[in-house]
Amino acid sequence: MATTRFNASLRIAEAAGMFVALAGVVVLGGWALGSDYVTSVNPDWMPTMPLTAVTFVLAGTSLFLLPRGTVGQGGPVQRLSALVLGAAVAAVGVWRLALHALGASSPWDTLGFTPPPGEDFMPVLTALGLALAGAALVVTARRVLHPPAQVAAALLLVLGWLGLARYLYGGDTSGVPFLMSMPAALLFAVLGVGLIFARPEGGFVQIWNSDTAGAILLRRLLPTAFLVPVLVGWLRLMGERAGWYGLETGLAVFAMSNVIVFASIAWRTGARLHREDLRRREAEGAVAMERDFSNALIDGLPGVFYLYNREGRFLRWNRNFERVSGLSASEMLRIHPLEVIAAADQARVRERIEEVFTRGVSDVEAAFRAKDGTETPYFFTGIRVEFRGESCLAGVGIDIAERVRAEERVRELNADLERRVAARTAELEAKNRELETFTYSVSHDLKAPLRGIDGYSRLLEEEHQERLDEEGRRFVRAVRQASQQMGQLIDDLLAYSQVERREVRLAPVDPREVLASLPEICREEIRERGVELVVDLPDARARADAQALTQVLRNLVDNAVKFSSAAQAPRVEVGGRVEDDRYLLWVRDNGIGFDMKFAERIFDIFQRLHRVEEYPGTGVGLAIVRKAVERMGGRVRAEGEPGRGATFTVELLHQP
Amino acid sequence: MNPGPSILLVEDNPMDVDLTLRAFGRRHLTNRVDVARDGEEALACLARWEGGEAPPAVVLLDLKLPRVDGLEVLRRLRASEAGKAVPVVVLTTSGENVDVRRAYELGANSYIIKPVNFEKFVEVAAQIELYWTVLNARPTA
Repeated sequence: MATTRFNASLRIAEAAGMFVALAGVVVLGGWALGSDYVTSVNPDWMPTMPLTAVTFVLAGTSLFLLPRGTVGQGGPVQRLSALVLGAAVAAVGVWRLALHALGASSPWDTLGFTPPPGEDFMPVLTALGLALAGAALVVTARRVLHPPAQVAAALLLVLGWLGLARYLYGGDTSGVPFLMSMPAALLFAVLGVGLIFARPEGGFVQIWNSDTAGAILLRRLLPTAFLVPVLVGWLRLMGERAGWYGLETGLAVFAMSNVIVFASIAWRTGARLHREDLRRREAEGAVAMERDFSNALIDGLPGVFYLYNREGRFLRWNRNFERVSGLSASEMLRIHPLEVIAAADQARVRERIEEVFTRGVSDVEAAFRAKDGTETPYFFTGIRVEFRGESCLAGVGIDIAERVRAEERVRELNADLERRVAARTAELEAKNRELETFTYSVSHDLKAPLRGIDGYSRLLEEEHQERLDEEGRRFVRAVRQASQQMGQLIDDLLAYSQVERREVRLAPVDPREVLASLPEICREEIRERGVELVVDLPDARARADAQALTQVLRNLVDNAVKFSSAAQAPRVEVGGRVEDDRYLLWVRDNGIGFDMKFAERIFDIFQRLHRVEEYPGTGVGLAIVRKAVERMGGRVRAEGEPGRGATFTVELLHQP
Repeated sequence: MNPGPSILLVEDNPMDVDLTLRAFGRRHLTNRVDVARDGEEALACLARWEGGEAPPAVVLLDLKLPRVDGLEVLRRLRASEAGKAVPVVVLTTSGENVDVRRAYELGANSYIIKPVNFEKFVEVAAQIELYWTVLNARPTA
């Protein structure tokens, strides 16, 4: 809308310029043809001087070029041309005024044509108009807009108007210095209007073109104010001259007509302004409501709200911000956002603010520092928003003191827990060392006397045989047997505690390799007892500790060989398979088996299901098996039936 | 018959000393067996070697000894000029892995666990004597 009016204004100026220039040319044509009607409009009226016509051509061309040279799409050529032409017009005007002042005449006014005597010079008023027009053109052609040019243009319009009105009312011939030709008056008026419209970015036209109530009033009233009184005055004059009424009646009618016309226009315009005003108030109400809403919104936020621009000037904030910071509204306007951040966090917060402006969004945890110096942990968010045409940061800060305290508590608890675990670990390590010392003592101190018992009973048996009777020798044998058994028991116990204490390292282990590495002494015993050993293991690996698995397999095979040897065709089978993520490994025999009610107890230490005379042993072997398997994170179970053999299954993790 | 090179037995348990001597006696070998009853006595022997006395063909060293324990004796032996080249066989009841490793680290030449069974012990004694006093070559003085 505004752009359309703006461009229309430029077109008006251009059209005015063209009209003036062409009119000048037409007047010159009139001189050439000797036509009074062209040069004077009415042969009774004074003609327009040829020089004046030429100057109007220059002025019109200058005005035509002005809009393109200044605010339009034209270049410096148009602008300079307009300027030069304008200067020429001014020069002619000023030169003629100067001649008038000196009382001299000009030989150039007629340009060789011959107007009637007494009317063969450019009148003072025309010279003044030309000087005014030239000055207005020169000033308007400058880049900067100058109010005097507008005033000059308005004066030009008034001047032209005055001349026109005179001719309208009959064109009296008295007061010669104020005369000007009818075409000159018209062209001055047109030039004035064109000049006013030539620079619509400022001056009268800027107001004229706008949407304000004042502009509406101007657009309606001004043309009427220019035209109506003149027209009404003309009607009154005509009526008086026709003798329809006298001077007084004529004046009354004139005044009344003006009153009616202006009153009606004023009423219509006033009514329209009234409606505009109501609409505006309504809009203002809506804006106020919107503002109240946003105020309520930001004041209702749980944290502090802030909106500041790139320079760090606060544009909006909520009441919480003032409450938490202890700053007044006027103080808020003076401070930089970093001033409410604890010194230690400022560098970090500055970085994040920069990030908001470059990347659009960021957040940061930092301490909010109030005016009185108290610092509170806050979580600040920020997003980049466009506000009043500039990039701003809008965000909310939330008090996270409670959360930070909770985290602190968790940290403290963790530290305490770690301390306690460390203390407990140290305690356990001490216990473990104690246990090691104990087992060391067991292995050393318990075995030494045992060796004495065995050694001396052997010596007694050998060297004092003749002094012992058969019963005595039997006693000595029993003593030796008992000591051997005790020695075995100590060794087994040591092996058991070894399994307990030794570090377990889980790695991929192939049970086939473990089985192949069983000591020769084992195989020999298998052969001696006539046991058939069948191995059927899959091509797979288990997650196990090689040494622990060796002990497990050895004990299970030993066990199976021992309890199957009484069978008709003793047979021990070692098998395995992968099931889901597990590796199942079993040792099956066809020996004496056991009652399933002992399935669990069979793994307990010192647990024996048979008498020593039948099957020698200490009852530690299977306990070692269970302990070793458990330490590898696996499980072991036993299945059996009296007289039909037993199966021991070890469950380990499969190593893909 | 020339007496063979001597053997030094470091052992505190009198029963073990007696049995060891008997075990050696069984084979009727002629090596002299000296006995140190604790770590200090063993270190006293070391002092005599430093004085010029011929060191034994082998030292049989128990680990658990009163006053100065076996591993310490071994360490001092290996640290001394006179004792660093003397073969040392650890002869003890403990089969603990830590002991075995530590003994070798300190420079033991062999580590043998004393069997409880007397026949086996006699066998072990005979093998030690045969190996270290007859088969094993030593530098001459």
